[in-house]
Amino acid sequence: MEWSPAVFGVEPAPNATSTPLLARFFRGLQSRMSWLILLVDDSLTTRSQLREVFEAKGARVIEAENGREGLWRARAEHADVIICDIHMPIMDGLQMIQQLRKLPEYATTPVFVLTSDATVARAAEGKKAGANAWVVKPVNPASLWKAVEKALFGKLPSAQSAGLSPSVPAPPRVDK
Amino acid sequence: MDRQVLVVDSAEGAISGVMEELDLLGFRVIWVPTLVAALEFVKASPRVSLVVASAEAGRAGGTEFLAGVKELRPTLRIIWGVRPDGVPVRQRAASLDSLIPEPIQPDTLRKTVSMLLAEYFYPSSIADAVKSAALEILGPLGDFRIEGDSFLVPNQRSLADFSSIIGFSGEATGHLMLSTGAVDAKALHRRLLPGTHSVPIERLEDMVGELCNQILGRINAFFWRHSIAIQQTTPIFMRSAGSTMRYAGRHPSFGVQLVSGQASLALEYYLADFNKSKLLVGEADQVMGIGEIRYL
Repeated sequence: MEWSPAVFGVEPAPNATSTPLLARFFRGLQSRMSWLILLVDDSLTTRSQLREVFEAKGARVIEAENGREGLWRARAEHADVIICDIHMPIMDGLQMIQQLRKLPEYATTPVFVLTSDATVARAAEGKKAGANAWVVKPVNPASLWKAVEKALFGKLPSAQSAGLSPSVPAPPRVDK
Repeated sequence: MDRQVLVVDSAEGAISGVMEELDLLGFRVIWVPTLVAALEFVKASPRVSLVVASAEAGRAGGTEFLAGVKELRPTLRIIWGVRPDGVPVRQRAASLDSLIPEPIQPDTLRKTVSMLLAEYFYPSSIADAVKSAALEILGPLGDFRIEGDSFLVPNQRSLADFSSIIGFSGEATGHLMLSTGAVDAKALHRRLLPGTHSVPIERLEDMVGELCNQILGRINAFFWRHSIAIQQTTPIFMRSAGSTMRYAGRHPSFGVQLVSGQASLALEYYLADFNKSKLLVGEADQVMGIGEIRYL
């Protein structure tokens, strides 16, 4: 669903969207809406670091510690963006992304891979699996947030993540 | 790869402990009683990397031995024991790589062997890559420095409060282990996630594993630049202060001690045989930088 001032009951003046002040107003308004970000990483440290920054920016965060759990959570709640590691137990990140792209609701969801694997060859595999961006650890969480914001600009949070419809209860977490 | 060490000792036990220490470091140790026998052995076996001779053994035939070795194997490393009341060896010092006071202390021997032989197992480019990777990843967490330089580490080690091991395979195999004490881990965690007060053990353990993962990622990036393909696994966590770990390595690991204020970490990198000639190939632009966000 694309962004439009009409969504907020505002009748835009002609060429309103080209006015920098108005663009900033709607960008600010947009940033206060709750994006839902799914973090999939077996490292609790990484998930905690990102959660802290993303929640401070107003986003909501759900987590998973492997690819299989990530798929469950993605099906249960419609995430607006997914950030996932590659090397994880049970199901790795590339396998998860491939499965995710088969779901219609995730056909165009931005997917960022966040990994210590810095090789161009592996990034090419990520692209083939369906990832949109490859991020090398460690990354400054604020920089990653800017990239996420950029990917989400012009989009509205999904109806489910914005709280406009009841969410499906999350599946139970896989025991360690 | 040469991994034999010749110990020359005329009286059993004169430099006792040396053979055990060298064995722990992963060398195959051969004992001979005299320098004459040692020279014959060097002639017969091209795989000897190092000779450790006691002061007593050096009294007879030292000059002939050094002359013979210089002709046969000029790159052979020699460590000579020295007694406080022993004959000055100044005239031979130019032919020796190191003099160690007797009785030979394990730490002194390990440092000397590291200094002389580390390049055999861990060429300087790899050693530098390991150190750089650690400093690159730990940099945001404090002003880390390498304390005491790097050294060879035996395959049997005592573990710290928190350790994490990650294996890698492909065109090179081995593992990276990162260890730290509980107090150091808490200090590091405060830097990583300021504002967290009471930190459960699982989080400290996880942090060590994640740091190990990121450091290994940067080391592997070095190999990828030389077109050596490597894949790494997920971390294994160990909480076992005082316990010992031993792995069936064929040679020593490469150890680095990193310190920053109140936090310190021990890093051990083990690399099995791989195609060293690939290190001579020019670097290819096959890796991304830390924190890089590349759109696909």
